[in-house]
Amino acid sequence: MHQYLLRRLILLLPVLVGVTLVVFLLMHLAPGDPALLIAGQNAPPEVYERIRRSLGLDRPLYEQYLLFLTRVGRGDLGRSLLLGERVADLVGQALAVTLGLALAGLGLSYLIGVPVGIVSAVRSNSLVDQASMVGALVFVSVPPFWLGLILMYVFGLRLGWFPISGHGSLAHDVLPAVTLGLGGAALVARMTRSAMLEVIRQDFVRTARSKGLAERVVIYKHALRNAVIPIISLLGLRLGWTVGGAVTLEMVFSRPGMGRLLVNSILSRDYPVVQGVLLILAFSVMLGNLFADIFYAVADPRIKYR
Amino acid sequence: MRRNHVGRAVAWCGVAALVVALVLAGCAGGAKQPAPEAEKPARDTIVVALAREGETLDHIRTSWTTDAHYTVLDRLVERDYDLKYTPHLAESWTSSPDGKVWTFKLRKDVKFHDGTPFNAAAVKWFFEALLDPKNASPSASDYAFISRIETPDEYTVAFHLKDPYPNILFKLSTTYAGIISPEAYRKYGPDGSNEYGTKQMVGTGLYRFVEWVPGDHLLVTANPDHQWGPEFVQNKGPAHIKNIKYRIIPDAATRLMEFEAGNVDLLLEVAPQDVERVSKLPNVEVFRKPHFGLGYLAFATDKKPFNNVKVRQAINLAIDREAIVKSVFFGVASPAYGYLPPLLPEYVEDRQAHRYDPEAARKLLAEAGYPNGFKCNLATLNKTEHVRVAEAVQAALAKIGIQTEITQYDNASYAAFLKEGKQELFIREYSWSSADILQWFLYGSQFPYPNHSRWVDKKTDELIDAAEYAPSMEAREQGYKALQEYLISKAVWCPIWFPEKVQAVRTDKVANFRMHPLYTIFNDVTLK
Repeated sequence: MHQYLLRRLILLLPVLVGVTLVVFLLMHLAPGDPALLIAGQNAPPEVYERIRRSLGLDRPLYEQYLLFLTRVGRGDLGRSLLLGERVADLVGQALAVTLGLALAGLGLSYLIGVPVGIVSAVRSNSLVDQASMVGALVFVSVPPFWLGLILMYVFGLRLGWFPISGHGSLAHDVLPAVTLGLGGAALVARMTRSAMLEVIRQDFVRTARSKGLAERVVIYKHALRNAVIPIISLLGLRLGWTVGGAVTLEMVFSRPGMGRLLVNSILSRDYPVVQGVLLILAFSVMLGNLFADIFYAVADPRIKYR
Repeated sequence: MRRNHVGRAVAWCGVAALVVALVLAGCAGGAKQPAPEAEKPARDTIVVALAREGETLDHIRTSWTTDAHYTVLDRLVERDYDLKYTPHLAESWTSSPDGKVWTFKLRKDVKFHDGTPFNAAAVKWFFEALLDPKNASPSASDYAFISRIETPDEYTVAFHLKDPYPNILFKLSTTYAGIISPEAYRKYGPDGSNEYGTKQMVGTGLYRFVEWVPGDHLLVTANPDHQWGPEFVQNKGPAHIKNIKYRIIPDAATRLMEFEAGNVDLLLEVAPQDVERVSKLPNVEVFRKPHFGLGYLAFATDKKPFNNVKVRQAINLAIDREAIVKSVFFGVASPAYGYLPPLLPEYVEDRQAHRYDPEAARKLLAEAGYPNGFKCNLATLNKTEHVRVAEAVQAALAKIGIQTEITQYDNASYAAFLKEGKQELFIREYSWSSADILQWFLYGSQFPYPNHSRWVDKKTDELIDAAEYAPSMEAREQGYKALQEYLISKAVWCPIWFPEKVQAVRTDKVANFRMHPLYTIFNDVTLK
């Protein structure tokens, strides 16, 4: 197990370097000179130069990247150009909001998706199966921001059950979490159904049934355990997607998370903050995949020897 | 049996899902404040929706100001509902015969929210801070006309200018000229605790800053000492409404729903496509007025075939402005026949030069040597209305043989594209309440950016100089009128639409609201 974990961690290194390189280059390839944008069109040349130097933009590109890499390695994401606050602090506050929403959404998507998928597989081609798969297709196809607006309209404005937008209490979190969860649940349900269908037709399931085991044991202990691998690998992919989804939903639901921080910092050209947000988002996707790999090995002991 | 097991399991999973989701979401939320109360504010608070918050409220260091800047800070000069310049922190002003010294007499009964007295030294400090290269203020260039500031006595400020500049009154009335407490800036500014603009904001305004929770809200509370309301409001004393809560809601659809639900009392902007829907809501009054701005089609006037005045005139005649206003803006805008917003005294219009006449357009194009038209690029910002205008322009130009290909850009890449000079035809919109916008966009020294029309012309520069540095407001007005007539004769732009300012207020909660063309005035507003 340790060796497996170590191998995964080593494999992450090139990805890590790649991610930092892309984030770094994005800011340099994006149109517009950050120093000019900060200084303003009519700034005197000496102000422009001072800003360029303070950003390190007067040095060669590779030197700037190495400097950026050493700083990131030390956990120093720089300071916001406008507020002077540490980017790590700003990102940390926003991350708490976004990650919470993303985890709630992800949790909901599995808690709804897996049971629905199991029922659909066990009763395949029944009315229940067809209805839930049509439902899943609808929720997979609907963009989250639109679903969010519809939920807001129905449960916020018309029924008045939950606050329409904002942040601060449990009630505020229900609509965005459900929005995020429903889209994910649809995908998880479809994946669970097809994985389960493959397994329940196999001989060992028939054997389990024929030796008189309770159906509950057959489904949950024998079939599900063997169908769980693709469902788990989906988790890693979903985590990244869910964080991304949470970021866009934050603008719709007016929540002070990573999405707001990213959009505001882009609008005000606060590029250390933009870099910080992108980097943390990329890291969270990588971590998601790492966790999926670990779950993988736990669920299927054969994997770590491969 | 089998079915029962599965069914029960599903039911339990559903319940568990809800519980876990609620708990997780609860942890995430951090449960800072009790929300139901926050959603239903007490009767002493008016809730205003803001589409965007700035990165900082320190307007020395940012070019983005919000409505809160207007309520927390005061200016020397204000503009009334008819946009006339009226005294505020300055009681009166005079200019020297050569127009190079402007002397302002200040009110003596004013103090900042932190108790610091308001006087000539504070005014001098503020404008010097704006101009100080150390602060790298984005507004510094707007005040570069000031050569030095003197304070002959405690309540007199004299601005010495490099050239005559009657437009100083405009510059002193914008939100960028809101006077900050020098004491507070020393304590909390970049050289102090660096909290000014995030945790502190100190002026002399109708409201005091309380708190700003980025991404959530900004709260201000009435200044009980305020006795210096400007002339054009009835209530010169403290505000009637105790608090203003600016809720930050970036999404337009969400803002509208919150307004409809009654959680927001005042919508500062309503998009053209929503105006009809909002007008039909019960207990809502919609205010509409022409806005200070212009949407236009611009040419790279130094490139073939746009360097030919006949081509530019032909394009001007090919555009059906009224149809665009109807189809793209649902009538919530007006057709533009001039280069400056009609509310400005300098406004000149020419309906003949900007009429819809595709036949005459084809003729002019043939005279210019393009009887079969030509192909070119049409660039636009990726903003919905602008893209729709571009599509309408594309269809109109196709009728006279000009084939265009539309390219969309986001804000930053549009600016870069224009700076690099790659444009041919392009859609632009400006928002500005002074005639000097023509100097900004068309003066020779502004080439290549922001003079992206690439219009470098000696006569234009002479006319701008004559207007901009005219000794009096009247001479300035005449100067800018002459400039516009000349520009229209050269068809430098193709004006298309004048946008409208639309605001909506909940009449079941708010009374005595009146829309100001530029700002939101709370002095007379009351809650029901």
